[in-house]
Amino acid sequence: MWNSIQCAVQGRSHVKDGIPCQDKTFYSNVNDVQVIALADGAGSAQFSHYGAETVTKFICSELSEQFDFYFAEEDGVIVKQQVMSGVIKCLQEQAAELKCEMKDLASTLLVVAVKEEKFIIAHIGDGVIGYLKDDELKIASQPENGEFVNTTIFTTSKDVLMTMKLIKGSLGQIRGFILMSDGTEVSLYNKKEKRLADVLKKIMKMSILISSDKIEEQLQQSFTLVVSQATTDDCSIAILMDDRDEFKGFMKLSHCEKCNLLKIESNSSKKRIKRYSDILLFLQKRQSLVNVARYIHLKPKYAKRYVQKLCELNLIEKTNHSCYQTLVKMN
Amino acid sequence: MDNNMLLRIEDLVNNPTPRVPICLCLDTSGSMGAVEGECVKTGETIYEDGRTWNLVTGGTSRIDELQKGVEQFYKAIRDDEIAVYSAEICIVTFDNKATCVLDFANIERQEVVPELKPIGDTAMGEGVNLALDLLERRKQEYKDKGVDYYQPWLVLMTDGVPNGDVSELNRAVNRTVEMINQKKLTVFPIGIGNETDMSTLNSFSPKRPALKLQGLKFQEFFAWLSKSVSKTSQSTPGESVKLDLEGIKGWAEL
Repeated sequence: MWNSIQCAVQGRSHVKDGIPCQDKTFYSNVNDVQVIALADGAGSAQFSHYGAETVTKFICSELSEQFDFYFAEEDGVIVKQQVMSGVIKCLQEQAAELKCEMKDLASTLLVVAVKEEKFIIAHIGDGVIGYLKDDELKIASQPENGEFVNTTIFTTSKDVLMTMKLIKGSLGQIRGFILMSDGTEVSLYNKKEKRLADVLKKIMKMSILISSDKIEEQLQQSFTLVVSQATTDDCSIAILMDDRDEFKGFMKLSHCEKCNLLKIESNSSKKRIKRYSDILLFLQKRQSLVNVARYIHLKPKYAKRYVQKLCELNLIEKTNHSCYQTLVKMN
Repeated sequence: MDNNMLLRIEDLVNNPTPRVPICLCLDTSGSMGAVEGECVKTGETIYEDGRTWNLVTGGTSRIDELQKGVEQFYKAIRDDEIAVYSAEICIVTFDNKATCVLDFANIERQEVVPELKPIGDTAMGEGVNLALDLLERRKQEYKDKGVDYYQPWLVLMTDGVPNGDVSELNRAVNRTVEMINQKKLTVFPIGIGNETDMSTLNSFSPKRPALKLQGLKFQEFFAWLSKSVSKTSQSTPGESVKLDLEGIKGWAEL
């Protein structure tokens, strides 16, 4: 079982100039193939937001249908040629429909497909592809910019086959994959050290504990208020996370696992853990702080400490009416 | 609602702002001391920069206006919230020789623009070669430190005819043209006054003609330049930054 999370927000300069968000993401789960794709439409291409959407949908469908063929093919050039001929055909059809040139649909393309224990990665242009292995975030494919930061390779570039990156392999200890556009790179990829921000590991792990809808909602909010403030460009991210450990809910965790999740000492008292558990159970229905305090028999100022800690860990959320609600799956 | 954030400012990595390296390559030959506006001849003459000049009192000299323009450029960049972190400027002057009077550094560290003084001949080739060398060195420094950068800019301003070493001039033209054709350099050749050798300036710019400054509108030019820097420093891959030709009309004749 795999979970996917996607998020794309319009850049500040695009909001100002009335240009749509040119970053697009797509996820598909067909034929037991999980695919996430992300494309960043070229700034100067008039319809690049359409182009980005088209190529993400196409590549997800193509890899779902042809995963075994592509994985078995030893010659990477043949795979690249076949993938790109499909991409180009798709873009040509769309260009005819929109009565524009194909270059008006230019975008980057990042994709990860997983089937059973196998994976395929493809990357055109900038943006970063990372993965989580042995509890460490690693880089699978770095951004392909030219010499200058505002140049890159696009799906419609002449030399796309020369620079397109293709990787395949066995999952082994890999637990998840992450795709990001260059706008997100600014905040979440250390270019000098070629390292992804540690917070991404937390987000990937949270995707197992919390429903995809909720985590996407929080991610959208974080990207709008934090990530997109560091750049004028669109920002997007797509995550695919393995849920094979089968998190059955907070109440099924051992004492030690609960301590770990709550980031408290493993020798913490059972009473303390029970208090957290009680709050999480009680907040499965939206409640005010006063009600929480009453429920766990503490004064509100002491109950607030527990509630704040759970908020910081993103296990509960504060809702619009100064109430709180549990996010983490309980049972 | 801030409590619901999955990531906070302190979680973000701190990447350096991508830089736009700009070299102002300025003619400070004797002819830049030429005066326009109301002035009175003193009756004395002087031979400099290949010709005889009447000495005058009053009026406004080209070099004074250029000095004000460069200072205005720095101010405009400092006032722009994005350009101030991305633009990096160096100033090369050329007269009898080429000199780097202000080396590349963060704008905030370049507190004072050096005083420009008109003297001697017009060693333009030497000036441009030094400017290109400094731009190359700066790019290497960016690469070594893992700092992203945009295409470098060379602003070449002159009011006369080059009279330095001919082979240096030819080398400068060839290097500049090659870099422009390889999309590795943006050049702005600007002629000042009516005596500029526009054909030489044009030879530095294979893609578009050199521009001639209207009168002494240095400040208007540098205001336009700073806006263009700001626009470039916000550009994203695939976005061609179109020069605002309407904006040029205020200070240049094509």
